[in-house]
Amino acid sequence: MTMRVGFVFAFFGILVFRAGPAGAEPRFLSKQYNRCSSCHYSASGGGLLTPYGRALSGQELATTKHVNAQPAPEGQVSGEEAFLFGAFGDRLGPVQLGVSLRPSHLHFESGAFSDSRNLLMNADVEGAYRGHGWTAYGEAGRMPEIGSENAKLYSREHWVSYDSTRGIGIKVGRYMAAYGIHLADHTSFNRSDLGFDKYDQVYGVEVSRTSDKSLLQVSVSPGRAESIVNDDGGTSFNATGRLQVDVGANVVVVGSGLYRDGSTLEARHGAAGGAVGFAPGRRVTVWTEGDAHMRSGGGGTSFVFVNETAVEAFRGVWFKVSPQGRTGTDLSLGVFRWNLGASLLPRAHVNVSLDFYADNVERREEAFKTFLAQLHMYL
Amino acid sequence: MRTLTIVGSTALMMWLVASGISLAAGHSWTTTTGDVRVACPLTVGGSFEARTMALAGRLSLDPATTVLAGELSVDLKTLDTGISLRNHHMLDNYLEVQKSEDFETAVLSDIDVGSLTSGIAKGQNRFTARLHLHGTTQAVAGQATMSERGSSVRVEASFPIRISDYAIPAPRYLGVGVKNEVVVHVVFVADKIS
Repeated sequence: MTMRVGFVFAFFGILVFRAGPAGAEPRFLSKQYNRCSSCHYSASGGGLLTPYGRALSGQELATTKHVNAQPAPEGQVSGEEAFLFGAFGDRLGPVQLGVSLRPSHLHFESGAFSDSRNLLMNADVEGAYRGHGWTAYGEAGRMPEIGSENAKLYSREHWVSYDSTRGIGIKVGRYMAAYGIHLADHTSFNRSDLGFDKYDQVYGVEVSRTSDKSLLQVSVSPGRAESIVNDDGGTSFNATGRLQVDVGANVVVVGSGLYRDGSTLEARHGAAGGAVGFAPGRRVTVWTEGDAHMRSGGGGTSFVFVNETAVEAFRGVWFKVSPQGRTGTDLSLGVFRWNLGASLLPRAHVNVSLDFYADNVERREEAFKTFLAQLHMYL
Repeated sequence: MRTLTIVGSTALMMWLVASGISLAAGHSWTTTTGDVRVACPLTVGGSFEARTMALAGRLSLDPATTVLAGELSVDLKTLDTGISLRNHHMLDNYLEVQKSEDFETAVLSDIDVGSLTSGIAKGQNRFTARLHLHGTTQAVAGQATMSERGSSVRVEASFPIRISDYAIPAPRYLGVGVKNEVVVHVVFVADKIS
C-alpha cells in the first residue's frame, strides 16, 4: 500500500509540477496560422505575444470582442489588448511587455486515493524589444515549488536574435530548442520524456532559415541551462534540428532530430520524429506526432505518439480530444493517456482551460485520473 | 481571378485544338465551377490563402486571332482568408471593395494562349492576359494545364501578381505584412455551349 501511494504521489508530482506555461497554439492552423512567428517573438512559439498576437487575441479569438478593421498605428496595440489594458499608452515605444498569471486547481485520484490542491503555476513578466532585425527577449518569474525545493525567482528564457531580410536568423542565449510540435498540453506528455519539458531550456546558439514555405532551425548547446547554472553534473553537448514544410496554408509537415551526449546523470541518447498537422475546415485542426527515443547503453527505444483534434464549436470555445501513448522500456513503464479538454477564451487575454486526463500505466490495474483547471490571464 | 480567366481560356483553346474542333465553329464556353486561391506569403514567414469559388465567365474563340473573347470575373467580396479580422482588413483597407462596383470584382480578359495554328499539346502552357483589379489593369502571364472531361474542359492555372502594380497599399498590420508578390491559383471547369 505504501509503495502504491508512493507511486501515486510520484506520478501526481510529475503531472503537477511539470505543468507550466503552454506553448503556442498549433490549433490555430485552422485559422491559417502555420507559423508561430506572427503572434510570438520566438519562432518556436510560446511566451510573450507580439503586438499582432495581442490584437488577434482580442479581435479574432475571444468570444465577446468584435473586429476592429481600422488600421492600427504601425507597431502599436491599444486599449484592452495592450499591456495592462493600455495603462502605459505609447510610452513604452518599441518595448513590449506582458504579465502571465496562471492560478490553477488540480484534482487527482487513483482507486481510493484522491487529492486536490490550488496552486499558482506561473507568475511571469516577459519583455522584448524588436527593431532593425534585432530582437532582445527576456522572461522573469516565479518557479513553483518542485518536490523539496521552494519556489524561487527564475528566468525561463533570455536571448538575443538577429533575422536578416534574406531569411537567415541567429539566436544566442537561453531558450527552448526547437523540436516537434509544442502542443498546448500543460503536461507536455509527448515532450517531457524527450527532454523538452518546461525547465529544459538550453544555453546555446540557434541558426535558422525561413522562407515562404519552410522553416529550418538548428541548435547546438553545451548543455541544459539548469545543469550549467547549478553544475549538477548533467551538462553535456546537445544538438537539435527541426524542419517545417508548409505544404499549404493549412497543411504542415515537421521533421525533428535530437542528439545529446552522455553526462554523469544521463546516458547518451537521441530522438527522431515526424509530425503532420492539417486543418480540414476553418474550425478544425488535427495534429499527429510520432517520435522514437533511443538510448545507448541499454534501456531500449521508447516510442511516443500523440494526436490532438481540436474543434472550435463557437468563437472562442474549443474542445479537444487527444490520445497519447508512450511505449515502455527497461527503465520505464509504458503509458496510454486520454486527454479531453475545453478551452474558453471569453475576452482578450483571458483563457480558461479545463483538462481531464486518464492514464493507464502498464502493469497497473487502476487508471490515474486527473482534472486540471487553469485560468490564464495574460495582461 | 485573372489566373482563372487565363487558365480557362487556355484550356478551352487547347481543348479545341486537341479535339480537332474547327476554330471557326463559333463555340463558346461557360464556367460551371471554380476555385480561386491567392497564396499570400507573410513578411514574418509562412503564408495564408484567400479563397473564393465565385468565379464566372463566358469565353469564345475568335479564329482570326489568338485571343479569347469574353472574360472571367471573380467576386472579390466573397474572398475568405479563414478569419474575419484578416478578411476585413483585406477587403476594406486594401482591396477597398466598398469604394465602387469597379472595385468589387477582378476581371481577366484578352486571354492569349499563343498561336493555335501549330496546335496546343496537353500539358503546361504559357498564357498572357489582362487583369483588372482595384481599378487598375495590368498584363499578367502564367502557366496553365487543361484536361477534357466529356464536353467540359478542366483548367488549372497560376500566375503571380505584384500588389503594388495595382495601386494597393502594402498590406501591413502591427508588424506583420504580406509580401508584394502573391500567386493566384485557379481551377475551373467550363462547359461547351452552342
